[in-house]
Parts: sequence; structure tokens; C-alpha cells
Amino acid sequence: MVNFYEITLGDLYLEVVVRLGNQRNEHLDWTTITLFINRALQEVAISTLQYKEWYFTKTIDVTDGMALPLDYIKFTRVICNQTAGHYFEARYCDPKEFNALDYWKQTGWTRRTYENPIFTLWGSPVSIYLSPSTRTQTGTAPQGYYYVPSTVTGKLEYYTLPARLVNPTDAVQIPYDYFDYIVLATMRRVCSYVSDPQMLVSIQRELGGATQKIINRYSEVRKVERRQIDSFIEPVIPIVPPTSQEGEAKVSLV
Amino acid sequence: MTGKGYIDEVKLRLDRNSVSMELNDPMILSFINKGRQNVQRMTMDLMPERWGKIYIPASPILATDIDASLAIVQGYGGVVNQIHTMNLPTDFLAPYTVFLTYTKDGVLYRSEARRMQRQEMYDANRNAWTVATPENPIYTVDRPTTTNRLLISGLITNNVSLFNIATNVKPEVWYLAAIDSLDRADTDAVIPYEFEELVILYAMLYCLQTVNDMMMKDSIQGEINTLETNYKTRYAVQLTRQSTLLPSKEGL
Repeated sequence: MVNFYEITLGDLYLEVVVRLGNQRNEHLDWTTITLFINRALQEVAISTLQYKEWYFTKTIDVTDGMALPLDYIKFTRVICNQTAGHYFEARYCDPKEFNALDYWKQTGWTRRTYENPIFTLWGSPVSIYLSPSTRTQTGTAPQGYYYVPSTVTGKLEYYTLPARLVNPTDAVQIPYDYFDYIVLATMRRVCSYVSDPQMLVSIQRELGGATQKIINRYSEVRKVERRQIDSFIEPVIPIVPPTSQEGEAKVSLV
Repeated sequence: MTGKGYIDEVKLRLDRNSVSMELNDPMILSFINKGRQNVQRMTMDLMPERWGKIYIPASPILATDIDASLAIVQGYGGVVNQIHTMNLPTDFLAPYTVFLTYTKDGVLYRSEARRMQRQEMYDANRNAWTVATPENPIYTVDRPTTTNRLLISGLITNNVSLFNIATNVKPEVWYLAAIDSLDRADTDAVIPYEFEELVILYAMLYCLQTVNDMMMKDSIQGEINTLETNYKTRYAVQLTRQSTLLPSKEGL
């Protein structure tokens, strides 16, 4: 996580209070506004997930059939190992595909191996299933079939949410260009709290603009990236040696 | 987040709209549960893995768990292929994948069943090329008015019933489940973290509708629409990124 600029909870609180102006009242205390700020932070982190180059991520150890933690949003990567330390990246499979590849009777080319492990997600609470696994193997393998000797374990990297802010000096681990978005998202909650529909509508409009700015910035970056890739000129191997300048030794290709 | 946490948050946000005075906690909780159902409906197609459950019946199905009226005489050899039935759990919405598991010679077999339309089952079982077998069973979900039931066929091979050569014959159903209602003290382990806000907004919407504050209600409805569009756009962008920026097609 890159910390572009340190904004504290105190800064955010002040900004919200200043914007509130006359609407401020004795019911809107520190705890309430902090609660709204934390909710706003979560919203910003989630709703812009696909449009930014920084994320809140976590890594946890996983075993076959393990329930995922409540703060799980989406996986980024799963690595598995049979021998300690020898990790291989696992491929995500749809549950239907997973079961077809995981079954010990499946002997196709795409069958999972310790070097090409697979995983899927299913169940309530949502759980992770890793393969190769001995989960469905009992007794001795029938003739012509092969049982895997052990189940892989792994590490799951996933998107999660920012830590809750409590103290005024707690830093918001978000780049400064998202500051406005967080303030507006907090204000939206405050407006419904103080029951001011007109202000709410105006904040919603502003918020729409802020979201659009982030999306536009993202698509601009992608466009530039594409332009740069398109403008790449493949180097051509010279067939004729360049002419030498005065004072230079004669150029030869060999 | 707990049921109580949701209630507190809804009350807090609607502090000035007489919600605390006019509505009681059980009513707000029922709005919260309604909101959770809405979230499930919205995201079920986008992220089915979040709403999945696995059902394995406690006791094996028996040779007598059949619907004799559906039995099919195979076109070749005249063997009768029975259609076995199993009641599905009450929260069953739709099947995702179904297996037929059984133990034979100490080995657990787990054959993935092929899904069919009920009308197709007859023809599939009549024809020797497509007939269901323990290795390739077929299933369909029957929805009579009383209960949802699974119809599974293929528990016979070479005129030998699977019940004579195997034990512990059970279907294993991976299905999309309806969301359970949340109680005050329960922690919500089902709604993805990212949709908690949407649940709160839905509950607020229903509360405002009840206290007849239509202006605020419209604002909240606008907010819900924006958030839902955001989630859907994000999902679409995520798919585009997978195919354009990551040639390996690994998920982002």
C-alpha cells in the first residue's frame, strides 16, 4: 500500500464539520461522524476497486475446505504447496469445472497436479476448496487409477477493507486524490442523519461527479497505455551498414 | 455485522425522521432482512459462489425411494430404469452441480450428474447411447406444489441395481440457497462485506416508506440505484481487465 499523503481522521472530521456549517448540531458528535467516516472509507475502497492501482490486501494461510474470513472481498491469488516452501500458483475454477478436474477418476490432460493446483469457492459461509486433495479418496485406488498422496495447503491473497479509524491521529491509508470522495460519502450519510433532502441531492450529484472523475482517470491511463503499446516500433535488423562519419572508423556488420 | 448493528445504523441515519418513535426493532429487522434478500437477488448471477450451499442427506437414499410413475423401459433389453427421488432443503433455489456418490469395494465414487429437462429424461433413458448409468447419471429438479425434489436416474447398470453392489448411495447437491433471516444477535456471515451498505440503504428505504417521508425516500432510492450501477459497472470492468490487460486470463 503506497501512502501518497497522510490524511488523519482528525482532518477528515474537521472537513466534514466545516462543510456542515449551520447544519451542525449537538447530536452529531465525534463518535457518530467517525462511524460515518469509516463507512465512507469502506465504500470508497470498494466502489473504486477496479479503477485504481492500489488496494487493501491481506494474505492468510488456507487449507482445503476452510471457511473464508468475513472481511474477504475477492481473491487476487492463491498459491499452494505440497512440500513446504515449494509454492505453485493455483488456477481458479468454477465449482463445476473444479469437481470434474478434482475427481480421482479424471485422467484427462487438464487434470490438476501438484505443479498445477486448482481451487474453487463455494458453501455457506463461503469456503475455499483446494486440489489436489485426498478429500474424496477412500480405500485403495482401483486398478488403473491413481490416488494423490496428500492434500495441498496454501496462501490466499485477497482484497479486503481498510482498518477502522479510532483516534484523531490515525492516518487514512488512501492517496490524497480520494480525499474529496471520502468527505462527500461521509456528508451523504450526515445529510440523511440531519434529514436534509435538498442538501442530500446536491451531495449525491457532487459524489457522482467525483466517482466519474476517478473512472475517467482510470480510462485515460488505459488509453495512454494502449497508445504507447501501439506506437512501439519493432527494431529492424540492419541489412546495410550505416555510412561512417568523417573521422570514424569504417562500420562493418561483421 | 450483527443484526443489532444493522438496526443501530439504520436508526442512527434516520434519527430525524421519527423512525425510532414510529417503528420498532423487529420491524426494522424485517426491513433489513428484506434488504439482504434484494442484495442477493442483485448479485446472484454475478457471484453465485457467494450464495452456494452443499447438501448431503444424512441417510442414504433407498431402493424404494422411487417415483414408479416415472419409470422408463430402456429401448434395448427392456430393463426398467427407475427415477429416484430426494426432497431438497427448503432454502433450495437452483441447482449448480449434482453428484451421485456411493461406496463400492471400499472406494468412494462420485459421479457428476448431467442436468436435463424433465421432458428429456424419458428419451435419454430409452436410448441405449444416452441412457443414465452410475458413472453418468442424469438429474432434474421437480417442483410440485408441496416441495422441491431431485429426480435422479442411472442407478442401474447391466440390469444390476446399484443398491445390490454398493452402499451409502447419496446424491450430493451444490445449490444456490435462499438467504437465512438474520436475528438481532446473529452475526451476518453471508452478505459480502461490500454489500452491507446496500442492505442499510434498503432498510432505510422501507423505513421511510413506512413513515411516509417520500422526499427522503426518493433520495435514498437514487443512492441505491447509483450503488447498484457502480457494482455492476465494476463487475463489467473487472471482466474487461481480465481479457485485455492480463493475457494469462487470471482473475483480478
